[in-house]
Amino acid sequence: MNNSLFFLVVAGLTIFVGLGIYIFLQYQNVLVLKSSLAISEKTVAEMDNQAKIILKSDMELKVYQEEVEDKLDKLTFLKNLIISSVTLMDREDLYAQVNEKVINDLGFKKGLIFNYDLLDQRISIGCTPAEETAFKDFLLHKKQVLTSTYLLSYDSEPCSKLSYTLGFNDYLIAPIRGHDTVHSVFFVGGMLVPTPIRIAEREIFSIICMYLGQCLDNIKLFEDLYLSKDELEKKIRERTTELVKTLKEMEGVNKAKSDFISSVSHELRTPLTSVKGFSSLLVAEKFGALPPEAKARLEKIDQNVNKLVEMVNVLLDISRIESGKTEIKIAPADIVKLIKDAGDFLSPQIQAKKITFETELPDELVVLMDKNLIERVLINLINNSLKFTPEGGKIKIVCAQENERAKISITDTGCGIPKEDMGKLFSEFYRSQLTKGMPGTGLGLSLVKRIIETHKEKIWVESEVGKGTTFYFTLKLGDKNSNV
Amino acid sequence: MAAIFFHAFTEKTSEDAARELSLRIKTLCGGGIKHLLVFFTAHNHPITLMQSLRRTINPKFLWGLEAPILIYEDKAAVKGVLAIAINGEEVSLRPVFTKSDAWESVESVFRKELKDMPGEKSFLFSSLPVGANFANYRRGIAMALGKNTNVIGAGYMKRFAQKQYVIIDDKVDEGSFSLVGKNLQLETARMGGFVPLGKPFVITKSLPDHSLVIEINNRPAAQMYKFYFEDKFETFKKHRYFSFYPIGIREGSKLRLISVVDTLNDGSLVCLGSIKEGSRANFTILHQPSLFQSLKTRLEPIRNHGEGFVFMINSLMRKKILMESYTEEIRAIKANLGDKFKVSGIYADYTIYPDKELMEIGMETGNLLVSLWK
Repeated sequence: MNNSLFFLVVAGLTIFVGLGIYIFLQYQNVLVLKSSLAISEKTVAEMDNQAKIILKSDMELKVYQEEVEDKLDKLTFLKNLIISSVTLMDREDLYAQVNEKVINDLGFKKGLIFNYDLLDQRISIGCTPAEETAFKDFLLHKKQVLTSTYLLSYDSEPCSKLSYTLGFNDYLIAPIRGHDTVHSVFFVGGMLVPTPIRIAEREIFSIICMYLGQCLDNIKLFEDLYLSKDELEKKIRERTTELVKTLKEMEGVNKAKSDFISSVSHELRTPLTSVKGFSSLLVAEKFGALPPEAKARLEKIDQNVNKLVEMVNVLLDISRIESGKTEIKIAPADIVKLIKDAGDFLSPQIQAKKITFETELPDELVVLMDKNLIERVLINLINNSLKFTPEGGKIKIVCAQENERAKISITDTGCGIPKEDMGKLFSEFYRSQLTKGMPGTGLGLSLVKRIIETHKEKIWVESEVGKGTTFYFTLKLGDKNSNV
Repeated sequence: MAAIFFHAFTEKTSEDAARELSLRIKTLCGGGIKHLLVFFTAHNHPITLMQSLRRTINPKFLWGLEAPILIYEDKAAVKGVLAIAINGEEVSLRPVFTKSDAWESVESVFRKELKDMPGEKSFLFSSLPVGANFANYRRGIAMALGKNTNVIGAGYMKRFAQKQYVIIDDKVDEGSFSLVGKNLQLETARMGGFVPLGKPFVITKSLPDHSLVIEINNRPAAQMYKFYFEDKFETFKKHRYFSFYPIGIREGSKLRLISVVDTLNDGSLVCLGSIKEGSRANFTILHQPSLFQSLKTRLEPIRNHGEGFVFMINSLMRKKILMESYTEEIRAIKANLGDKFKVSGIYADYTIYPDKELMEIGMETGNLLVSLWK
């Protein structure tokens, strides 16, 4: 019994101790678990914190990236708009560039453009008739504001009523302003992405409006220019018609003059030949001796008849050349030889006036010319120089090759030609005031000019009063062996 | 005879594109083309393209779909035309077109169109345009073809072009386009790269059919974003960055990604895809190194076939996240698969894929869907 009791007590004690140990161990486990849980919770909280940092940083990076992308997109949009419109010279074409894509690229759904003055609608994209009316009403009452501002939005004072009427406030209004006028007014509204309007949208919209304003200014300038050009062309056409008419009249008069000179010269030549013949015979006393006084008078008559014959001959030559009656034989020939011959021909007169005669000539230079006519040109020009160069003066002839031409110049140290006479120098019968009292008919240079023109070449003159004159003319180079 | 695939791409458009593709395709296959599937960017005029393709390649069946970005081998192109020719006597493909306003009748349209195509349909490619009702689509497909239908698809959430055109033989239209196939098998792999962040949370209240998450951890769902973004939450909300951090639901070894489209005033989240109540989820973030590291493992089932035709449906959101380096991903996939695989594909807002673990048609945005057509 005692033993049983003893065992029961021992067993009870053992169980009690065991339970105590078990409870203690469980308590320890709970403590460990609690500690682990705390650590886990801390770790999870730490993970969440890390997640927060990662998400926030990543988002900020995206914001920056999007901003950069957005700016690039806007720049590209601006570039494309400029490329497509910079060459436009028509208002309608320019406004047509502002299409749905442009409005969308600006970040909006709706777009309106009204002319500033007449308030007529230019463009309407995505707007309802009610919105169009609301905007027109706004312009009717507030358009004056747009002369002094660059951009209006819902928070601008004049727009308070418009926001209410439209029923939305994500819109921008800007004048399309030129140099000194407001061309039209641009409205965009209803953001594609429902976010507030950013600075980027405002800026790009302002830039577009300014750009459109410049384009419209350019178009206006172009139109003005076009109109004045048109006016000018009209005037030119009228003047040209008048000139053509006058030219025809002049040609008629000229022809009549040439015909008259030609016929008069012909008519004069026959009696003159007779007069000349008789005067020569009389001077030579073939009809018997003459009293000295009569002989002296007859000699004067004979000299003047000679002058008259020369004049009639030159006039006849000019009219023949002008009417194409003179047969011109252009062939390759040496101009240098011709110059030397002309010099030799006039050497008695040169020596008589004690004039220094100089030449600067190549050995040979073949040109295309009618030898007889060019010889007359040379003799006329040298003779001309001789006439106006005082005793002891100098005449110089230069002949040189210039590209495909020979350029011949005859320079003298004569009295020179006044500037006001230069333009009329080659006209028939024209004689300068400085040549009064000097011999001449006023036909020599006219003949020279016609001969050179017949060769399709140029003749011109340079002169300084008191210093001298240089006549230039050109002739095309030729090939000795070729026939023209 | 098994299916034979030829593919060609040109950066040209419309008539010029048709001429060039004709030359390339005819050089590759030599003979006539049975099925021609083209994907084209908005730069093309669909009617001109269709008529030109008819004139030049003249396939027996011609189908086309407008897409924002095309994938050809190791390139992603924003302009051009991609052509996929499918030959093979036993291969049978049938188009099913659903008008945008007929989402209630997906089942009947499929049943009607496929009534003379008996037997098992092993292939389904779908394109869901803007405004498509995915829940109705899934229900209709499940009822018409079965829950386990092997399906891949591209869905569009917002318009990348004025209109999204579809070419069906000699017609151009707008709506949902599907290709149902017999004797054509599909093998799919989903490429992730998204890693979960923070403490998992529980979806405590949701309306899966309406793709709405109402409460997370018994609090308005949007509060979870506020918890993580703290003082930056307003910026986050203002910029609508929800889609950058999709909700990841662990399904076995993979994460199903659900993109959040918007928040409602009561703090509910409007999602692109459905989440059932009780699901444990995390916010996820794309981690580029993880993406490239996982390529080899994820592509292994496809690479094991040795060769074949691979069609990818990549995510436009993924492109937005990867920014300039989005083409690197395409290059890496092509390099990993090697020259024996022909690679083509398109970009979409979301992808439709066969969820083998949940035994249903899945939808997600963010992951890249790689499919082998054989």
